[in-house]
Amino acid sequence: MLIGLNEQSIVLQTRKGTNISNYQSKEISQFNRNLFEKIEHDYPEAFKRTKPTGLYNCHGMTFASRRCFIENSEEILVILKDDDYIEVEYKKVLPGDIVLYFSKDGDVEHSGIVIEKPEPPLYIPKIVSKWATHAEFIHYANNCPYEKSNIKYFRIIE
Amino acid sequence: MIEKLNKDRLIELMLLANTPYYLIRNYLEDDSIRILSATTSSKDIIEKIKELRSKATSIENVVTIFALIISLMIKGDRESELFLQKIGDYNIQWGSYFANYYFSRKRPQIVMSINLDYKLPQHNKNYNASNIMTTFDEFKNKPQIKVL
Repeated sequence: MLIGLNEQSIVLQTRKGTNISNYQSKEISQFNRNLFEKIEHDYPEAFKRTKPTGLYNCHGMTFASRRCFIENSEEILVILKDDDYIEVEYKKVLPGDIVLYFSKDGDVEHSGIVIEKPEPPLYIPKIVSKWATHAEFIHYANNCPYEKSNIKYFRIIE
Repeated sequence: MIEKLNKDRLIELMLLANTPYYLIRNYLEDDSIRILSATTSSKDIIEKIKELRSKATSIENVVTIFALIISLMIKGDRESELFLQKIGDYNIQWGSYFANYYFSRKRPQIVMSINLDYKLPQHNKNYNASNIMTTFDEFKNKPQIKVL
């Protein structure tokens, strides 16, 4: 992510063989770690399950088994199509489904994996997601620093 | 110029940015960047970007450069657009995203079409220029101005 840093990428493809651009980022400074504490303070109900790392982001966790950063939102849509994801109604979400957070202009600004099905009356599932260069968090889908007005769930059936 | 940037908040947003557009959207709404944009010339902003580019990389520098680029996007003047068009020359990561975001959302220039929808009065063969000059009341249909 930083200017001029010598980042590396790996081979990453969709089910249909489309290449997905990616990279693995560098270590995180102590200064940044101090800012992470502030973020955690802002979301006290989110449970941190890993250490911060720049190796992968949310999309790298959701779609690439925690191996890299995927930053291009358009390529996320390619993955959805090539991998035959179908949208799932929020009340019917199951563990293993994925969640995508769309901004108002269509950017897929965040993603995660559902780990607990939603219960009435609110039907808000619990998910695990990686907050960019910060850590992975377990949190309710509506409790994170990303746009929450357009959350969609997807599943691979076959 | 850059001292008043809200660096902690800008760094926090960068640390949380899964996509470049998340960063761009949130930086565009940052008050400290908007103030910088309003109080600094494009020329000075671009000079500062060039200066910071030559220094050792750190997240503080990167965030400042990104904030300066966003301030150019807010300005949107000719000099800023020229910089954004050539941002690839500066080898700034995510540079193409800044340019794409800006140019894909740039408001189209307002095209003003003035439709002078009136007819000259009919004159007979004996018409002469002085006659027209003295009969303005013959122009019953006023010109219409349409903004497309």
